Amino acid sequence: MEIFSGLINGFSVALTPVNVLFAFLGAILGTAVGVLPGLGPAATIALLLPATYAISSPVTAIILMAGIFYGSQYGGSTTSILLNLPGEASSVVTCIDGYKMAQKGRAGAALGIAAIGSFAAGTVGIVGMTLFAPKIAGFALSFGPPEMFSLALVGLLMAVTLSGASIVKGLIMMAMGLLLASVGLDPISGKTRFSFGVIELQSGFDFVTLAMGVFGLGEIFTGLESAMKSEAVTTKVGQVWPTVKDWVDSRMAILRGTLIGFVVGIIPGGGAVISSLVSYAVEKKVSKRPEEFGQGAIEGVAGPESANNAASSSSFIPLLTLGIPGNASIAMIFAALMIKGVTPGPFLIQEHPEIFWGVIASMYVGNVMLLVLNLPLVGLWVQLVRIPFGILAPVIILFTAIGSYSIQGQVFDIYSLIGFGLFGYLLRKLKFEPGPLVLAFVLEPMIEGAMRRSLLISGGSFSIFVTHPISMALIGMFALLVLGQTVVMFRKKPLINN
Amino acid sequence: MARAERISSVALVVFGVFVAAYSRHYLRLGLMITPDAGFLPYGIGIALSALGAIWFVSTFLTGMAHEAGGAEGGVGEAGGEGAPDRARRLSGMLPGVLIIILYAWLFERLGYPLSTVLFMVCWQKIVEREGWLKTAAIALLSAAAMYILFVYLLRIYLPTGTWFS
Amino acid sequence: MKRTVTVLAALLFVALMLPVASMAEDAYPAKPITGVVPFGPGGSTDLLARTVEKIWPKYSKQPLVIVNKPGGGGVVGTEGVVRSKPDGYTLYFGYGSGHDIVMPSLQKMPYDPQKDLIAVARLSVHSVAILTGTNSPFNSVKEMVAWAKKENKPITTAVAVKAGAVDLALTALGKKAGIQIVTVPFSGGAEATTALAGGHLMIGGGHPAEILSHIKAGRFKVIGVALPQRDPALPNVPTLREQGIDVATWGSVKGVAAPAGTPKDVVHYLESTLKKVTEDPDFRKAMENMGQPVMFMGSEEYTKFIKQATADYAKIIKDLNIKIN
Repeated sequence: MEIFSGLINGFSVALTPVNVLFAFLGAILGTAVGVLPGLGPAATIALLLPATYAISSPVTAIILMAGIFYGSQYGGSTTSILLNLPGEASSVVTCIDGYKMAQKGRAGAALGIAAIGSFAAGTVGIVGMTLFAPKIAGFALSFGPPEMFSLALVGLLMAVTLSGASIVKGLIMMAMGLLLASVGLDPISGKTRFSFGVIELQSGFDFVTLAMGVFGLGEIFTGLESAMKSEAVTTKVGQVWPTVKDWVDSRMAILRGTLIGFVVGIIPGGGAVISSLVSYAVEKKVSKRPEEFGQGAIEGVAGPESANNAASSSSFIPLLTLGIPGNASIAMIFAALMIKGVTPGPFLIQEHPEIFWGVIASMYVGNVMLLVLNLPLVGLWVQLVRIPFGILAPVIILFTAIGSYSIQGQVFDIYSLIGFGLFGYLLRKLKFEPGPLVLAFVLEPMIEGAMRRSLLISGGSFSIFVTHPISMALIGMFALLVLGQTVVMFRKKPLINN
Repeated sequence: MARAERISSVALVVFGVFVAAYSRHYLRLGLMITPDAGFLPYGIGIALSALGAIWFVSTFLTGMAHEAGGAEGGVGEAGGEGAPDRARRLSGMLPGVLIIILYAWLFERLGYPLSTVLFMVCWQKIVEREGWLKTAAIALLSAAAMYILFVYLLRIYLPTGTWFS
Repeated sequence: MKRTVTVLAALLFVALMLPVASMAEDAYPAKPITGVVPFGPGGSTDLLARTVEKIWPKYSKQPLVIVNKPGGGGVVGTEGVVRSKPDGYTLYFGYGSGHDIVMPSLQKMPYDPQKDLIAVARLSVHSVAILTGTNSPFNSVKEMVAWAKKENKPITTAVAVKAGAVDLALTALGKKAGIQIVTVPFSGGAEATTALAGGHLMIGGGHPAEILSHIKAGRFKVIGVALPQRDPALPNVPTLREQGIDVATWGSVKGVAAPAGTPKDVVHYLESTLKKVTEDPDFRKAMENMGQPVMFMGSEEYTKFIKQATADYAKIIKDLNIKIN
């Protein structure tokens, strides 16, 4: 009952004209940021922070920033599907089947199911948050270094071994991703690795530069060498909306993705990314036609897209109930609250119920807005692929170059971008899937850091990974999966390429 | 294609050995209780060499089979391996790559607006071989649109050009 | 509520007009001043700089615009300021951080943090607080030392970064007290305190600003502060010296600096404006909420302070024989 009155109270805050306006503004900005490659929600929220000083009410400021954050999860899938250009780590997985669908003229179906899945998952995530937030907050704290290590490693290995065509090539990509991420300052020893005296390399590569280069520029370079220059990237537009069959195929994937995203999203660190990986692996595992994955299976879009949206809702739980910011965007919201004199944490719900419930209620409102905003846009986005390659390609190049430059304001990152583009071109020629490379890159700090921290804590004993129950459960689960997979593989699948 | 794969796989083995050696000598492996900066890269180096070796062997085992297997590549694969004129394909890609490198080089020197216009002009003229009118229109419109988007709406800091100040 | 909309609309308008309006020639400051924070958004330095940014327009006719340029432990952004034009329009926020006063004793720097920068003012000192979970067996650093000696066990400690102010203070503590302290570096203060909150380590160290919400929640107890005097943000916590351990550091100092060669009158203008900001009641209230004590110091004094703090850290590093690379 307490929850009910709290929520009513929250809606009375969220539905004031000003707050509705700002939720709408946040949703639009978030969608735009998600669609624009190279601009992440964290950077946008940082840019907007000074503007929020002028907003007198903290709840309004948070509603705006939260809107950008979950709005960007909606928009993030758009360029992944249409242009094979993941704007964020959590939509890398969407590229695998989403882009294949677009090439087959089913971009509309992919975008449509992503929007619907995002809405369903976002809303279910908020309902879960309304009901259980204070009770499950402690779950986030139970993930220490050994649990983090097992979670990140198992999530990554699942995606690599269960998704790609060739396991050896997937593992090579994974190793390369880990290696690229280790360039720069090692946070644990304080040493600089693989910088060879280049000052810009000391801070390492950025995700945006790598993903934009390997996916975006790599694709363009491949396109450049072909004869059909002035043609559109994808000639077929096809049906704009998902069919009844698409809907039937993907509704269970949406449901499973939502559950996975909600649970994994609570964990601080790589919640949204790992949840999309796990969801993809699960969908392939339970599917009756796993061979379609990687060739444009709609479940491969619906599951991960639902998962990362549910995760973005549930990642507010540690912030609002424990005062722990789980990722960069949430850290900015944390900073904004602190500047406004509000300390997020267990007392937030008592000291500032209007903020706690107001933000939750505004997320219901924002999600409906996003659906209304995004569904008509699907038709518009699909037209994007009709733009001639001669215009689209240089514009994408400019976007990725500026995106890379704006991270640290150094031209060196544009050169890195070009380098990664050529590398991505090479990978395409050699038939490598760049997904595992980028995912391993994102998860490396978590994997390596957590491993070395665990060993420091345990005094050098690897047994820490199996004596901690959560960690052991994760490793055991993966071992069973691999065992099952090996049996299947030996029966019908060659080791290299299928 | 098998030949390219074989060369790449050997290169990968060599690269892995380099990574492992660098990690061992310059980064140090550390002890099990305090693994040092080279601990993980060393493991990766060895793994890369091993995976490269498996890849190399596999190119002989599956030889013909994967020629047909992986036809699903990027868009550029449409031309396929059937057209053997490598020179023509390179001539399509090389100017594009050079123009981007030139853009990066001029980015801070000429400043964002000018270098962007120049980039679009070069691209339309050299890569797409468009007429001057269309080139000018595309270049000015797209540069202006992006300037409004990044500088005015998103307030991103972009260089104005060191050659002028 | 209506006001909010008006303010936002006005703000948007001003934002669009800003680049055009700033062309006019005038006495300093004639255009907005850029304050570079060489760390990511949301950290304690960023929070401090953004609080200054918010109050600044009350005392200056031109706004202060804070930008984050993280990378290389702060070196990348700071170097950018060092290499910028010394005209008073590019300032460095966070002068006195680990890479200014600790790092020079450990490795070669691409610039000289003392010669290439002019100290404008000190704003705050972020002390090193030592904390432990509420249900841990000890209530002070003294008791912790006794416990570690009796049980003969290493004390696992969460710290924000390797060779940072917190890491050094705790390593020094272990050495002076004769107990084994294993410092486990995380990537940032928030991550370190989260792991400690989950009970994955025995103790932790952090700046008060980073741990305030956890202390309020009763998740941690603070068992000591590594400052020469008590921290105004934690007045009830005894220093290490009070507990019989001769370790005192300046933690991480947060001030403002300008590139060398900046005109004297410009430095003076900035110094006096920052003084007015630190005396502003709204600023003081915001700082108190964030757990950052306001400890203003003028340009001349602060220059000497930085010199002394760097020398103190060099001594600790030499005594403890700490090396990287």
